[in-house]
Amino acid sequence: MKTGLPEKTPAVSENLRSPEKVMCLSRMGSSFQTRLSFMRSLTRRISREKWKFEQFRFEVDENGYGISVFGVHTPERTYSLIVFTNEIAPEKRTDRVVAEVWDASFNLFDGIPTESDIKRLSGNTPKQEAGRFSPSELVLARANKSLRLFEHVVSSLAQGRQPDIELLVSVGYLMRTTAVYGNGKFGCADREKISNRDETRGSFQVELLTVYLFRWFTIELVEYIARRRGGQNTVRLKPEISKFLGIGNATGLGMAPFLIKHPVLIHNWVLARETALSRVICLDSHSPETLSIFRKNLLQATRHICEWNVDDEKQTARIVKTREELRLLSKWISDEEHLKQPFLWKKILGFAENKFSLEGQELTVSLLLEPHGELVDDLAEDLQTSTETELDPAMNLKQLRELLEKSFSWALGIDFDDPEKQRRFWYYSEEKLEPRFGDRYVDPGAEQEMPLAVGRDVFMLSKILKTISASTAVGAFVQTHPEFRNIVRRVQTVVHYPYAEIRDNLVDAEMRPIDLLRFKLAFFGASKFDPKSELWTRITLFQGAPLPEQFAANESDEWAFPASPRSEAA
Amino acid sequence: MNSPEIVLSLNEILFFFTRAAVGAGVPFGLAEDFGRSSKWIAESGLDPAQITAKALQLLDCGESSISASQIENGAETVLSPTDEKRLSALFAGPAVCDWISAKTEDSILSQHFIAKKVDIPFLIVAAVGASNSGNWEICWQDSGGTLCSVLTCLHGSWKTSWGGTEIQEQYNSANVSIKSVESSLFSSQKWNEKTTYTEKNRKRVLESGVPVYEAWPIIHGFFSRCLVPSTEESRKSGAGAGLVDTD
Repeated sequence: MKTGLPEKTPAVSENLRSPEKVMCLSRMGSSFQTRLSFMRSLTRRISREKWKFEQFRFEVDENGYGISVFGVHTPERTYSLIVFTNEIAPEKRTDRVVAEVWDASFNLFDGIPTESDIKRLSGNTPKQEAGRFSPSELVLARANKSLRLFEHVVSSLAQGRQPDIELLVSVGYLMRTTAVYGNGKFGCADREKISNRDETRGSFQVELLTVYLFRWFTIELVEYIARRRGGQNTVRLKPEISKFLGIGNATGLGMAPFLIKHPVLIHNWVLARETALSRVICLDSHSPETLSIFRKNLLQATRHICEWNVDDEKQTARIVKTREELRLLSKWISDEEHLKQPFLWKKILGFAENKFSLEGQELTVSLLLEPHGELVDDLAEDLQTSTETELDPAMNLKQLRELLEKSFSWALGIDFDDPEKQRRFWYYSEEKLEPRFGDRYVDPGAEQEMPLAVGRDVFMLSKILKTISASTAVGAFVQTHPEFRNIVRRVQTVVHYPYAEIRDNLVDAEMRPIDLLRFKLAFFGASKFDPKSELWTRITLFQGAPLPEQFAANESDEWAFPASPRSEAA
Repeated sequence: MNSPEIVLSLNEILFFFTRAAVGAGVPFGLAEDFGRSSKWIAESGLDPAQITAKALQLLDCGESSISASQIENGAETVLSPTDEKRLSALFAGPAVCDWISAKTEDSILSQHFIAKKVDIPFLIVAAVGASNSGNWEICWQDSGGTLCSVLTCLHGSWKTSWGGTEIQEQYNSANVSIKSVESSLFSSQKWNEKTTYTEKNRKRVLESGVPVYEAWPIIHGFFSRCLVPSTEESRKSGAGAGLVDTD
């Protein structure tokens, strides 16, 4: 990494929050976006490098069906979003991987596509997983309309009025992506092809650029359909309204295995955030400017949380609690006595840790980072790794046992002999390889379990190590017990990366995959988590982010905690 | 040559081939190594399915095994199958890499490794190449009795002793010897005009993908064994979201 973060961090410094605290599912499932989130770093780069946006093609009929190509010119190269839109039957509209048709299907193309490229993709992109792609395509994705909002916005604009803000707040997007595939999926370009480019080196930058361009497309699309319908009476969306429209996303279990399969990358993400926090809380003084930005963001976050309403009862209770906690924080920060003391930021964190729920604490972390871009933004620039798990065959089993005791006590403390502690299992369904979460004692297929139960595998490893001579070399052990090769390799690698492992049982009867999803989505920069069950959630991406023509404004990075135009006017 | 069955990305090679090995009964850790070896083959511009499929078939039909014993005798380390079967390269390749990894730079120069009765010797080359662990000469006799050698070097380049770019199919098992060599050997007269695979092959593959030919259905067949048949119940509840959404 080039950010100055050490790739290997044998011990966590005392100013960083501990892995035991940070990497448990309950806190991971309370995560919020921060200014290090991948969407924020993308929009900062767009603004800083003055990327130019261009509509190469917009050939759709009065219903918005057709082919469009929207491009962006970066300093070094051009990327194009190629979108195919078509009519689908309402009963065919599903967020699941098992869907077969979508309102829109699209690719991010590396360069500007030729007619031949578009013709080739027109036969593949609408088929999604059933199509095949080439390394010219960096991303494959699809989206469905929000039936609640899309038609309402079209008809409102066509009748010469702005859409209903209340409805807009309750949905937040015109269309919702249901899968965004990158890194070689279905023949698309491998990440290695683009991992040395400045603009795509960071995590998920091409995937999020795709979503950003698609958001622009949805706004152009809805205005175009309205114009065709309403003629001269039609109005455009007010800029503050279009800016408030994000892109929805439905995220399910597909995201969870990624977190387990890339432990070093996850360590780097978390270490960056924790390093940023430690830099802030080590400041012994604050400036009027940073205090002012903190207060502004606190107010903005309060508005944002007030507009965050979901059907899920558990999440609703958490949101209500967070609203109350923000009021407490607001009151605390208005006390002049608190402001006179040194280490204000550390005291705010301490206040939150003593008084707040996990959601309130993590929101406070996000708020603390906001005023300190100059101090922390370098950490977001290059969150990637090429490190793979490696076996050290020369190590002996005594040393391996010590590693387990040092870094995996969380796993060794779980009694996996209790059937409930491994009731669940993760697997790929033969139906479009949809990842599913099964009950080992009820559902078929446990013998095809994905190797994601790190805690259980460590427990089993520890058990067998007790029966073998401590002087045995790891190389000899894995020859006679090859079934442990992957977990030994993992243990030997991740001990150097304290934030690499989720320190919880991922196959427990009570395990909630939704916590994993929220953690990853928060790093993306998502907001308005809307859990639909313990297995999937809806979210909003890029809500409040500048649209292409809005980047000239100075506030292009000030879109954390988006609130509706109604709320901002209040 | 016929049209490819499919053109895969390197990430797909890793995904499908790792799970194909699991489908053939290999533990996940060895399967990961097989996936990395297959990717290395693909990065060189070769068809990984054509080269690896037989190794999975031999394991699946019980002609090869992943059971072996390793004995160190002075400068020589010997890995032999513990039964009458051939030794699967899916086991022997990682064993060789572990042996290399466990040695110090000084000790490795005076020692060598022999893997006996290996079913697909070239997969040991692929395992060593994928581990990018230095300069090695890997030798065996092919089915016709000709000595085959491959040189690998630290920065990913490698050469074969035979002409052309084909990797010959091995019909019977072979003893494979692995020894460390000086990097100067790579540019010696003996090896000077041999086909060289370099980083350029990998860059080309990243721009064009990996064409995979008639052995692909074999790999995909093994891969499919890792998938769980969908039931009405798992379709409804295993992945959460509704099957119709009217948001």
